Amino acid sequence: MQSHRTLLALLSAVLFGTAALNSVAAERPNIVLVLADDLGYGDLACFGAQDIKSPNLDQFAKQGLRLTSCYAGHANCSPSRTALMTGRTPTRVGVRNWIPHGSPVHVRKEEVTIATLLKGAGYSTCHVGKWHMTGQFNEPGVPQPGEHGFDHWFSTQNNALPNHRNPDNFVRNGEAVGQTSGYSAHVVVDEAISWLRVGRDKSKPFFLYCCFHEPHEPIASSPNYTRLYPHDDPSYSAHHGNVTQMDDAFGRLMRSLAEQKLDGNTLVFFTSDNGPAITNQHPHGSAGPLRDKKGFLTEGGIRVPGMIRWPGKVKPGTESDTPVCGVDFLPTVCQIVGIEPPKDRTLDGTSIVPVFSGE
Amino acid sequence: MLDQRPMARTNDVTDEEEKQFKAAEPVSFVLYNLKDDIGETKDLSAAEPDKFADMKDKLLKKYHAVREESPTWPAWTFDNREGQRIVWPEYVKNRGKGKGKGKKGAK
Repeated sequence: MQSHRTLLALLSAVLFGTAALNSVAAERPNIVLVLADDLGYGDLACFGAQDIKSPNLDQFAKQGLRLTSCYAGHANCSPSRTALMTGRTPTRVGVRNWIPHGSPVHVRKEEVTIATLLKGAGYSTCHVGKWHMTGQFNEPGVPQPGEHGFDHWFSTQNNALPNHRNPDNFVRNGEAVGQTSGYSAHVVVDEAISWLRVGRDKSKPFFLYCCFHEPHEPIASSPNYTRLYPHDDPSYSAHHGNVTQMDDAFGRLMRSLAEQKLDGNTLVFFTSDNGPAITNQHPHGSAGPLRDKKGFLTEGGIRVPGMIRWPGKVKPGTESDTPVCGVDFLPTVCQIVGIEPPKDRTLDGTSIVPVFSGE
Repeated sequence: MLDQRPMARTNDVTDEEEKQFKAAEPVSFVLYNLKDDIGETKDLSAAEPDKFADMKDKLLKKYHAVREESPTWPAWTFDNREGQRIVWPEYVKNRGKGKGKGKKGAK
């Protein structure tokens, strides 16, 4: 009798235990983080741009929460990305400025990224696009995207080269890809869609980190988009067209999620790495009403567009002016997925889950 | 603004700069109220001394903790290997200003 009871207890533990695990797994959402490059606070129609066409991101804004006080973790690329991936103020990590190709600066192996945490929690993980968290890209001795938790990566050290058209500097899982065909945003989304369809482990939830090169220089925009912006200055048409190029590729990614019936249980967070660059060659980016631009610690350098879509959890068409920051991404995702953020180091971020419901 | 500024801003990593970073202290502070002044035009540090002192104190505590924890890097000389690979479109070449070989190189 005793042994039967034990057996029954064991059996029910196995049965119910498995059922409980399955239901947690079924509830755990997929996570998609989409990052634009040098997209300013005023560079999308849904953030007040009068002269930029961003229909896909505008529709995305209506489907979710618009964050009007969303801050990048830094005023330029490498540190800002470091903040998103580690939940730590990037100077703490040693990434204090953009990382030129060849530089010894990198996000060290002892840092714990959100990709490593999610992979450990049973997620299938992928990075596509600009990486920019090491100078010694695809070289031995320092961590590459694979060592920072990405099962699959199709990445560039920094910008798409020689420019956004037919870039030839992507590396897929350690192997140089050679020349690609098309414009960078579409090349990046092609890889993301392919991974979603056939690359990932479909028995697991997924984390996709999609980093566009647009509208960072060196800009090259398809005539499909430049023609939307007839102007005496071809640099104007190219810059604005570059934003639309990214928007169009983003729309393709969102439609693919819907076609694969993945959009319902997927949290998508869209943001930018820093304010608009506003350079001699391309002075057409905008920080809207904010002061200064990329590289400055005033609002124009660090306040960026931020939007979250998560059907059933985030109410469509809502808005929040609660300050949130790139360092908040890791603790937020940890809370959503039900995993512990690293306890053996200082994290600078905090979960923004309460913001989802307007708190 | 920090009290120690490198002699010339470059993309190099130098031993001197890494040493300066570990000792640099912020010396200039401003206070804006973003709710009323999103364009950061009016410095309120003199008008709101208590708020200013409180926020400055918080900032410096964080700054010192972060500076202490940051690793430093071995010296390295910028070679602009990325900038040399960039092909700019024709309109940029015709623009007359900057051809991708500016002193700061590609960012």
